[in-house]
Amino acid sequence: MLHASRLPELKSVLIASGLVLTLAMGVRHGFGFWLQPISQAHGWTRETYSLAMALQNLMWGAFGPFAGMAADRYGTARVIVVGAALYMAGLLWMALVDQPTGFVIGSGILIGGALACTAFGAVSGIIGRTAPEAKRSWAFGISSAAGSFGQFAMMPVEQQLISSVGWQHAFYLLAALVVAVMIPMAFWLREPKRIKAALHEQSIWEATREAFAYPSFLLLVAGYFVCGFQLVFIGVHMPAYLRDKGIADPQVAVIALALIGLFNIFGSYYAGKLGGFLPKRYLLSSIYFCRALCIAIFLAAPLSNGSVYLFAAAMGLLWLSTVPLTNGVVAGIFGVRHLSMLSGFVFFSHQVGSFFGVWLGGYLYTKQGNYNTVWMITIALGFFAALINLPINEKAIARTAPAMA
Amino acid sequence: MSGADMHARLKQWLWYAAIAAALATAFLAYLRPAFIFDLASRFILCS
Repeated sequence: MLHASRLPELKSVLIASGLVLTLAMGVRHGFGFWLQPISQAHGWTRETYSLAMALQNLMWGAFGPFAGMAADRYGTARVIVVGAALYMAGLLWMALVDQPTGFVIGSGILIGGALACTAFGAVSGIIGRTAPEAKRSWAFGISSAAGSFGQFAMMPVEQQLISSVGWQHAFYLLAALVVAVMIPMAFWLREPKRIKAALHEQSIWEATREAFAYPSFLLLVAGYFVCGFQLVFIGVHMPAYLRDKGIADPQVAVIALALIGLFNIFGSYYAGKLGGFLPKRYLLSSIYFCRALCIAIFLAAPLSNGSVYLFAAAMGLLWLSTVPLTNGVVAGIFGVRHLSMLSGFVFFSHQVGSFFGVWLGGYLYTKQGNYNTVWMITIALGFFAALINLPINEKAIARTAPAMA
Repeated sequence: MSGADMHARLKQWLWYAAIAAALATAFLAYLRPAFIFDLASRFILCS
C-alpha cells in the first residue's frame, strides 16, 4: 500500500514534503509557549519543561540516522506515517502526563523520534532521488524554505490556540492536525519497491564506513556542529542579552524574532538555488564567514533597536541556508541511495552543537555574569567553520561498483 | 507577447502575490499585543 509503481513527480514530492516539514518544524518551534501553563498546572519548576525540550532535541539528533536508514530502506512514506503517529502520541503525552520524569522521558523520546521521522533528514532522500541532479540543490532549497516557513508561521498560530482553547486542548488540536495532514501527504511520497539492480549494492554499514573514512564528510559534520551551536545560542540567549544591554522593550526582541523567521525563508531558498550553479563548499564557507562577521559587527557597533533589526534580518538570511547546501554536498559525494541516513549523521552533529550552544551560554553567563566569552567563541567557531568548508571535495566519490547517483 | 506567455506570467505573479500575502499576514501576527506579551513573559521566565 505504501509502494508506488514508479517514482513520484518532483512537484508532488516538493508539495507533500513541504507540508510535512512545515508542520514538523512549526509545531515544535512553538513549544516554548507551553512552558508557563504546563509548569503552573502541574506545580513544576521551569527546569522540568526545559529538560524535556533539551532531551527532545538530543533524541531528534540521535534517532536521525536510524530514521534515515529506515527511509532509505523501507521508503519515506512509511517513515512519515510512523513519524506522524509518534508526533500525535508525543503531543497527547505532553497534554496528559503530569508526572515529571515520565513527561521528560516520554515526550523526549516520542517527539524526538517524530522529528527524526518527519523533518529534513527523513525527506532529503526522496527529494534527492526524485530531483534531477541539476535541480537537486534548488529542490533542497524549497524544502528548507518550507521548514523555515513552518517555524515562522506556526508560532503565532500556537500562541493563539493556547489563548483560545487552553494549553491542553491546543495539544489535542495539533495532534489531530499533524495526523490529518502528514498521513495523506505520506501517500504522495510513495516510491517503487527497491530492486537490487546492481551486482554489488552498498550496505548500510559499508555506506557508513565509507562516509566516516572520507575527510570531506568529517569536515561537513564539524561545520554543522558550529551551525547548531551558533543558531541555538543566539535563539535562546539573545533576548536575555538585549535586556542586559538595556533594550528592555519586549517588542524589539519579538520583531527581531519575526525578522529572523521571515528572512530565513528567503535565505534557505536562495542558498539552495545558488548551490545549483556555484560550488557549495564556497557558499557554505561564505555563510559561516558572514555569520561570524555579522556577530562581530553587531557586538562592536552601538546597540539600538535598528541595529538589532539589521542583525536579525542578516542572521535570518544565514539561518537555515546551510541545510540545502549540506544535504546537496552529501548527495553529490555519496549519491542518493543512503542520503537520508548520511544526512541524519550530519544532523546529529548539529544537535550536539545546539546542546552545547544553549548549555555553554547559560553556564558561562552564570560564571561570568555576561555573554562576552560565549560571543567570542561563537565568532571564532564561525571563522573555523568557514575555513574547514573550503577544502571539501564535492565530487562524487570514486567506487569500483558505484551506488545509485 | 503571446496569450500563453501572458497567462504564464500572470499565474507567476499571482503566486508571488499569494506568497507575499501569507508572509505579511504571519509577520503582522507577531505584532499583536497578546503575542508580544506572551512571548515577553517567556523571555523573562527564561533569562
